[in-house]
Amino acid sequence: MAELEPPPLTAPRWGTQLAAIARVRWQLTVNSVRTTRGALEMVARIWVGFWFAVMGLAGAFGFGVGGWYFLGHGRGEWIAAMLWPLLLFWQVFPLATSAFAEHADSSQFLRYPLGYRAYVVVRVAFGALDAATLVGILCLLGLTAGCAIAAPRLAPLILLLAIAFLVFNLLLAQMIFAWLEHWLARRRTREILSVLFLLLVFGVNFLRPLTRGAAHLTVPAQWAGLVAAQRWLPPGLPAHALAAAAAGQAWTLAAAVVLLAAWVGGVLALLSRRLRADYHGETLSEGVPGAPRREKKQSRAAAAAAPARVWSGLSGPVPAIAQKELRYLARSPMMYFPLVMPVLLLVFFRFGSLNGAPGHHAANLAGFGFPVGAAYALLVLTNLIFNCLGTDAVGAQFYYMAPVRFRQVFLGKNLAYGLLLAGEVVVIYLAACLLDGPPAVWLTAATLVGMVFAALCNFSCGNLLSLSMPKKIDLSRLGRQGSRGVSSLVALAIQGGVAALAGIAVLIAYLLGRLWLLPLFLAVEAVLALVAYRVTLGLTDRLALSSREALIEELSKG
Amino acid sequence: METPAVATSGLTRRFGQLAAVQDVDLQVAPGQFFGFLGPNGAGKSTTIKMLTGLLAPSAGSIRILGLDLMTHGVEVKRQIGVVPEGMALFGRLTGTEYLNFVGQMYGLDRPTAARRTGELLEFMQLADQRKKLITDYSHGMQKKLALAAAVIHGPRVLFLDEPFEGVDAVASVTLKAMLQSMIARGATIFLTSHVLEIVERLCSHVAIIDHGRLVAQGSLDELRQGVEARAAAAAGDASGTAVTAGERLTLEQIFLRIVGGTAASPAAAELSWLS
Repeated sequence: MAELEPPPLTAPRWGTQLAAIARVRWQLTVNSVRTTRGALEMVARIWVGFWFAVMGLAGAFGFGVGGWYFLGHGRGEWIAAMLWPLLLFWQVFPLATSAFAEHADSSQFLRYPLGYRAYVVVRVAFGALDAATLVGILCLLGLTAGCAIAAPRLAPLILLLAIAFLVFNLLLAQMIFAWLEHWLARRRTREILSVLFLLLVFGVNFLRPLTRGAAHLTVPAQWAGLVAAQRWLPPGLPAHALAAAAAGQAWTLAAAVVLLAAWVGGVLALLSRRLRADYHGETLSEGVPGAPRREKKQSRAAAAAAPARVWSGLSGPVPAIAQKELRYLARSPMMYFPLVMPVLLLVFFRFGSLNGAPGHHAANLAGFGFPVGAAYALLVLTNLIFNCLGTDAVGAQFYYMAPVRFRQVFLGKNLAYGLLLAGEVVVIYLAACLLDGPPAVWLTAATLVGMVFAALCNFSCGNLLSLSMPKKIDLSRLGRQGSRGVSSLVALAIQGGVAALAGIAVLIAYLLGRLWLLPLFLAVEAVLALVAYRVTLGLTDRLALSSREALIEELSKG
Repeated sequence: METPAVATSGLTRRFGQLAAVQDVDLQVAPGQFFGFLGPNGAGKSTTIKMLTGLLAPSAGSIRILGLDLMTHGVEVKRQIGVVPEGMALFGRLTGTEYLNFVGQMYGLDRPTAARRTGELLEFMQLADQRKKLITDYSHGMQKKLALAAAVIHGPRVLFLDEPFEGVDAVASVTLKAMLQSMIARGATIFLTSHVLEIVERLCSHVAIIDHGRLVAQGSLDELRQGVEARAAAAAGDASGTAVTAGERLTLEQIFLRIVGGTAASPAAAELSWLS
């Protein structure tokens, strides 16, 4: 027996812990390519990453040229015109794709003696592993290079400002996710946000005449105030600081740098409030453990828990699964923003064309808000459609134990998604009517029939892909879930195919000079899609049996 | 001859080169409270997964209530209830919603499912938690809910994988009473547990699996007699495994003698730095 060794009582150093976490992430990545599925996944990720890198490099070139031109021609303030869109992309893109994107969940490391500082670093670092950050960093590198070429003596300052802007964006994105998760975890907040959102949609309609009324104002009068104000906001501050440095205004430069640091600090403080709660084991949930409930609330909740009236009279597995699926989605913060995005898209679409004269390109497109919004609504559901067992996680094995066929399971899930999509399309239609007037009858009919066609195509492929490429989804987390990269690529290819088939129908109707025939052509395609759907639904039972072990193993992962 | 509730023949499951379960022939008569035991990694969970349709056997056959599981999967599943290892709950439903859902999946109409849900939640002492999401339940509460879900349709055969793990003593008494009343009404229960005292108290028949092979099967008395006979044959052995006269072996002792373990590993003495 060896001599008794003194226990290692020193606290683990956080640098060592971070290195260990980085190492384990790398090992997980390397080990993931041991299986064919993992290798395919890696290929898909590299493929997607490559295209985002191309996008980022193009952005870097543009930012570089822009930075060089603006700073070199004494217009440093104009750099803000590039940083604003970059900030919007950086923050909005992850939200818009929160149903598709995947981030590693860092909360699993909380079981170890990880210090708070280390946890913050891990959380921010894990959150930064996304496409928006990649594109953002490349654009900032380009901007730094362009500015440094234009004014070499300012190179250290340019680098400092770029880093500060990068850190600000990283922290802001994490802060937005963390607070949204926190707010959306509560039913009451979700209800309030839903009402606010509806008010926004209706409010935009009233803004329209106001904006038209303001059209007589000159551009400088409209913008002068905004330009002055934005100088003190994070995208304006680096530009303001550079312009001040170029002009030799030391105090203005110092004020801008300090203010930018203050913005970073403020965002960090707000993020820290959430992360600290997370660090101390806060679990986001609708229930507040131990909180007394009032009788009135209980009776309301009891009514909600009882079988909903809308489903009464419908017994059996299919409606039960559809109802369960809708309940899950109603409790899923991650679904809210993707579902809201199509309507926001309409609003942007409308505003983009507000000042467009008749015949203006954007104004001409405005009438197509309904089909575009409806198509986008289907797109945001593809993550669920192509991985519809992922939300069930370990519960998916219940379908193997219960006396049901998988065709019933998928029918129930497709029914739920179909209802959700129908509801979304109705909201988009109403929003389109409010914003832009009712779309033409033929366009409305073509959109509705086209949606049926597209949904059936997606369900057909999605059911098969859900069985062959499942991935667990945590519906309580924003942006920390997603389909497999391969699934995403296949889903993208299927959308391309669907769009091509719909495009053929449009082309034929256009060549015939009878666009009113378009709904009819799309209806023919929808009937064919229905046949395909029935065939693929029949295949699911066999496929479910042959893939059950891999599926259960994948969905039961901790 | 009465049709066995559970019967396997040559049941085998291989994972690559490893045979996790090999040539297992089980016979569980209707109405039996059957304990399925084995050391860690012996093949218990693999076997129960195959019996409940979660895992395909590499070879052999499974008949539940006389029906082949491979060809009559849906009919078999309608008559069995399962509490699997991971419980397979839907975390973002409330207890009430989940039980209603399971009831409908097993073919109960909505009013029946709702009525049984209420009764089961009362019985399991979960009635005051009915509106809480399952993900917020404690482990023991989840176990109780999983058991409630497994019995909501009145199964004739119940498969339980470690049903008492994480369940407090009070709840444990409730669960045991319910299981025994099911046996009294003619149901068959197939249970795996590491808590041998519970198995000894509840089960009339036991099977022991070790290294994927069935090494013993029968009533407790039959197993005891077998061990005693073997011990008597080895009475002169210096290892000291002989049974002293009048001694009645516990299930733990029977288990240890059959699987060849000892009460304490000598390696434990080496880990003195733990103290």
